[in-house]
Amino acid sequence: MNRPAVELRHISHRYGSFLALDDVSLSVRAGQVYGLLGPNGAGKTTLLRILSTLLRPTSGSAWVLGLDVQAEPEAVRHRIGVLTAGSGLYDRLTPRETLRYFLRLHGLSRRDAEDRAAAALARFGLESFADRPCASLSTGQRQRVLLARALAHDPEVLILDEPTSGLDVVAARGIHALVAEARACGRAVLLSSHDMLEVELLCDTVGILDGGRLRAEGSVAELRQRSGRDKLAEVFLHYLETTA
Amino acid sequence: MTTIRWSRVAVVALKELHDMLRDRRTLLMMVLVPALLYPLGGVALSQLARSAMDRIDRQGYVVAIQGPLEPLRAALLRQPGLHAQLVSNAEAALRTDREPAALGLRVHRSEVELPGGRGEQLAVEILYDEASPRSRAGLVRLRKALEAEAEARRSERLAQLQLSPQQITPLVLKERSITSETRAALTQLAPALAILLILLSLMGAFYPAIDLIAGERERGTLEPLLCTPTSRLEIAAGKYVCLAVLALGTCILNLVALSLTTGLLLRNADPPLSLPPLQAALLLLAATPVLLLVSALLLLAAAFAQSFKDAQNLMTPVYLACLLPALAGLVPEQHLSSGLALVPVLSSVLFIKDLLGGSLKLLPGFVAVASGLFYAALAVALAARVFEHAEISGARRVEHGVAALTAQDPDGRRRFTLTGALGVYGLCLALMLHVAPRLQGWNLRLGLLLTEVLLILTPALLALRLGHVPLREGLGLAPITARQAAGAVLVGMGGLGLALWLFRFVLQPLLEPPAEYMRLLDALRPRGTKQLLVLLGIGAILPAVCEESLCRGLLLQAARRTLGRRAAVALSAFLFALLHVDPYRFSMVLLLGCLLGLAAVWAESILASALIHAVNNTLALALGDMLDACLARPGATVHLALLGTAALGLGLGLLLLRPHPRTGRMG
Repeated sequence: MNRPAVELRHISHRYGSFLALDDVSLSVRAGQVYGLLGPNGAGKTTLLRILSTLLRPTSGSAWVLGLDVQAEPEAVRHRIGVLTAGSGLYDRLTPRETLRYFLRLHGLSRRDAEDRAAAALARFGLESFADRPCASLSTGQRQRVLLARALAHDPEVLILDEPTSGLDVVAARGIHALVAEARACGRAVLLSSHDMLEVELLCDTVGILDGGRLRAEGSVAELRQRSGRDKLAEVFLHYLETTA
Repeated sequence: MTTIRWSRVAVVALKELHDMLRDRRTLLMMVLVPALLYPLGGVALSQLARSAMDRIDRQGYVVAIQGPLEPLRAALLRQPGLHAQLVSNAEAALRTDREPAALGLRVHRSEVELPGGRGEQLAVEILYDEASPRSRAGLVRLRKALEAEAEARRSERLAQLQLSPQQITPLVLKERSITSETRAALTQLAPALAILLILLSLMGAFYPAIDLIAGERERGTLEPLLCTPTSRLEIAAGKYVCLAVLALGTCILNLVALSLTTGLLLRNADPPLSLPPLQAALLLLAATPVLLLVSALLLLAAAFAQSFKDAQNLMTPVYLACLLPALAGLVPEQHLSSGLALVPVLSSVLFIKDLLGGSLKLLPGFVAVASGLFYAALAVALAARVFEHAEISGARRVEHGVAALTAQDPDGRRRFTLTGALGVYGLCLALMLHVAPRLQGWNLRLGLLLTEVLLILTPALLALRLGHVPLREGLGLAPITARQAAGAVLVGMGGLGLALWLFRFVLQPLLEPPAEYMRLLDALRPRGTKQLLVLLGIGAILPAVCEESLCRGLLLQAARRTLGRRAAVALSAFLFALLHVDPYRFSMVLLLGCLLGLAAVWAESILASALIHAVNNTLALALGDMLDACLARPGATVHLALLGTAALGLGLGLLLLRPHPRTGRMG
């Protein structure tokens, strides 16, 4: 049996006395979109940061494509694309230069980085402003550059922390299309969101995180059935209330 | 061992340089400041000085004359600008607030016996105000006028006596400076120029250093960068290369601007100034080590910053701390010696000063560059170590930021953060600087006791109490085994041997011990058993308890969590040496601090370092006279005895202190 693309086992993490994650286990298969739902401070970002190798868990283990995130962080970083909440851009660089820089940090030669950056600019619709400083871009354009930066090296696993936060409907739809495309290409996607419609539209599996614990997990249909609620927002509130 | 991919370092460095050179602030500091500062400053200063002198000249110089005016009136009138004024008190005329005279003359007329009768003799006392530029400028003119008058009177008197000037001049005096006016002017300007050059060059790296880490954090670009398969060490190295290039680039631009300014604009100034390209290149060589060192220190400070404001708060003290040793270069007649060449920053300032003054010696110059590069390498290694530590380079929660003095471990125990420990240390150091000298000046022995207990131990314990940090964890207190205790005793003995060897054969030949230090040694020499016991309490046991509680306890325990073991030992040793407020003994105390830190980390307890400290000080106090007698006879035997004791004690002691292989690495 194939190993999941992303696997967490009994992960806990503390910030001082605050327990941000408490014994969380989950897995994401290749070609699956896993959505993390949870109120602010539930532990979603901490979980994604552990998978991104930015944080070491206090206890537990995590694997990405069979690689231990603590033992082989650099190998993991080769194969993941990360869009963290509050990500920014180098204001004085252009989108083309930004992509080229990050591709070179992924080990591509100057020529390959140039070609791959050009391809990513075309794929994400960034060509019209490819050579303008990032400081002059609109919020939607910046978000597209951020996503292009996370995906330009063709990662097998996508980790997206609130990817459509602050975007208008048109820009958000563009991101949704990219996530759908990634799933179609067999990539595993783990995303966090506050937007119930987005989660319902994109995610094959949903995990409800609250107080650092995974309160419920399953497809949207399964969660509806188990909770006896129709709307995902009501399902979400049901799990928060019953476990409070 | 961590390998470093230089191609990745180059990618990071080139991107940072590319990015920084698009930043107006960086460009302003790098290019515009030197391009404008030197020519504008040079021309403006020389013109201002000239115009101030012209203004003074136009207003003239009132000479208040007390005594007969008539004999000197003609002489004064011959010198333009001098105006004679008869007064009853010349000094009062200079001191008055309302239109004071520039100069004063007290004239006494008397008569002397001559072969053909009697002649007049004038005794003239010139009064001037050294603090007044007008008075100093007028003095030159007045002296000229009076010397001409004296010469005329002497010639007249000689003619009366039918003698020639040669007949009454058995000794002819002539003065000639072998230094050109340009060199003399450069020598005077050299210390200020050296400090200006270093500070301006560092300004070129100051804002980029903030932007490289804190800027990345604030923009939200640090996390995406850390998510790439490039190691933190490579990222840190790339950023360091960028900073060093900017600092060196700024230095080169400063030197070019300085060279052009002196060559084009100040060539005809009074005195003329010029900085040939070869001298400019040597200045760059002198400044390079200090620029590399401070760039690394700035990067190190920036690594702890969560925001721009944080970075400014952290980096400004680093920047100013570099100014302190540089200021020592302003001391007159201070030249680069092999000993001073080991002092970072100061060595570069003295190198530049001696180079411009034409008195640079080859060996100290070489030692200055070599030691500067060595310190820079150490600082880079420390910065790299800090970057490799996850908590530093990864994003942190606000409660772990600079503002937090204490934090809670995952197991729930409170501990001091490095910032908190440094704050307590800063308080102790301030007390050592301001209160300790007064206490020890009042009563040396009692003062030493109060210094240890009140100024070192009490703040440390109070901080632990107020921070709710348990004593055992906060100080790193744990029982040690008999084997470790034996190891500590041997290290204490070996450490003393090494410190004595360093003192006798390295320090003393390089730098004469200050008289104050010798007086202190003499005052601490026990005279009788009772005094010895008292001194052992004050000079061995108390320092072992108090200084270890602060340096290996609070500081080392906090630093090792943030910086790792090696960097924490180095930092605590440096701060331990600084706490002694004695530049002469700094290297010896630093060495001892390294041994004490290593022992505390290996034994996982400050009891080991306290024991070493106590043994070291006890032997130094108890055997002081005997050691002095032995060391007074220099020779190979003393060398061998000291180094043998050191090697044997340290080798065996450290072997016994080393953590047992089965228990794995500690710290």
